Amino acid sequence: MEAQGILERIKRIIGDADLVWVDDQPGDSYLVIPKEKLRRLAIYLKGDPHLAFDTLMCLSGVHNMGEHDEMEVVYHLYSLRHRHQFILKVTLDRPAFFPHFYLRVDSVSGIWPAAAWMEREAYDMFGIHFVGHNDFRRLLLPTDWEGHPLQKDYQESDAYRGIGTTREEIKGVLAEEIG
Amino acid sequence: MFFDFANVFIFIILGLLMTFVIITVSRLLAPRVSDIPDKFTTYECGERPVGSAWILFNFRFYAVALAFLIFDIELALVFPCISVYQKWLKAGSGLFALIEITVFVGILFLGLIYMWNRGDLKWTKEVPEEMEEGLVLEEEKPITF
Amino acid sequence: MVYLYNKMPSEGFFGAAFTTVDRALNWFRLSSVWYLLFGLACCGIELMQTGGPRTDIDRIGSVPRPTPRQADLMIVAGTLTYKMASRLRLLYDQMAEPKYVIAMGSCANCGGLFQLSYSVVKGVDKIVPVDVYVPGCPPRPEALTEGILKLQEKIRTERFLVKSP
Repeated sequence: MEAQGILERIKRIIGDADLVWVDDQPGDSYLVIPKEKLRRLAIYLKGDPHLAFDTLMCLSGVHNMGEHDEMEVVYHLYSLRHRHQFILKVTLDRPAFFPHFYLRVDSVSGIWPAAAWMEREAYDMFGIHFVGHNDFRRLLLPTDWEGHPLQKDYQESDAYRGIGTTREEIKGVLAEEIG
Repeated sequence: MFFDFANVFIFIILGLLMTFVIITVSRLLAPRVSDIPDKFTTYECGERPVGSAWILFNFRFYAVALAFLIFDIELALVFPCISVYQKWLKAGSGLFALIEITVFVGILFLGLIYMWNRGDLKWTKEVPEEMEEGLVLEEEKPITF
Repeated sequence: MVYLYNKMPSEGFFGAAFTTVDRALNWFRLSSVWYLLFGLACCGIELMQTGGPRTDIDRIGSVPRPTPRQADLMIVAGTLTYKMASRLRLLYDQMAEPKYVIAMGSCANCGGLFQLSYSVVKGVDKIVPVDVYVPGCPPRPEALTEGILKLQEKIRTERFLVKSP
């Protein structure tokens, strides 16, 4: 099924409000939905026999710090039965005060089990909380790590458990070249 | 006769001496490492061990070890009999010795037959048919929407 | 009894005897430098090949050991992350003296390609003392062999019985 056909079926279920269909960017076209509609849409996308998106290929976090500080969660879905794919995006605002209150999305790990570790990785790197995950903790970094490294304003700390984070001999050289 | 005993005695003394001398000399000449407590931790590929290493072993190991022990001791008791058998044969009581040792081995052989019948010698036992119904897993139902 | 070692004579008949014993002990030790397998990343593949049939360090006496208790040498081959650093230190502590460390590859020497990464330790000499640094990304098996030969040179000049030159 073509992307427009999938889009029509989606609009019939969750309505037109707040949906943004982006297809003029280079690359694949995607649908931006508000985070409140994510869970219902995910259950529909998996359950509808004509769409049957049974595989979550990838779930990733994105941090955009242009004129507006926001984060995105991108879902790449694929149907093994019908061999079509679809891309969903959920945009989250990141205010300056208490960002972790606002960076919360419903977890889809109950719908697509592959999301379990992907959501843990998104939390580990970006700090996005997934509500309803049954084993929510960091995936790659050590458990006592402070901060979320792939955020664009991440500051590396001076030491981790006593191990210094810079190589003193070349500290000056690197700062010169990169500035 | 006493020479044989002296032989064994010297062997025992040398064995004990070797063990203790090696350990003591090693202890005296070794560098001091007691200030690194991590050196004496259990090796677990770099991870710190969690919990106890005393796990529950399967019963079959115990059954096989018990059978081995019994027949090993039987073997150890049969060997002296074999070594003096020629002397007894010359003295005329060969038949007596043969019957005695056969009775000994026979009694323990009865025990082996009992174990054999029970199936304790098999590593994987087959479950009798009446019990099989309870063990069959239910077939997984296909996922439908 | 260890205090006797500092008083061993270095000249004369006994001096010659003890320095010869020193040389013999060193030769025994350098001819069988058993290394702990510590391949962390791509350098681990080259480490495997160094122990393989073409560049065979078994011919200079180095066999791989999977346990630190039986190893003299730890070849840290690959990128060390902060998560792995505590395990590295524990394994180094579990080795018996006398022990040596070779840092193989640029990631082990100084963090290498991942100098600016948040999760990579910038050189294993922040965790363990290193005797030989083998540069390369990854170093060829011949380069690692030279590193082990340099370590053998270092062992050859060590003093055990006779402390003063």
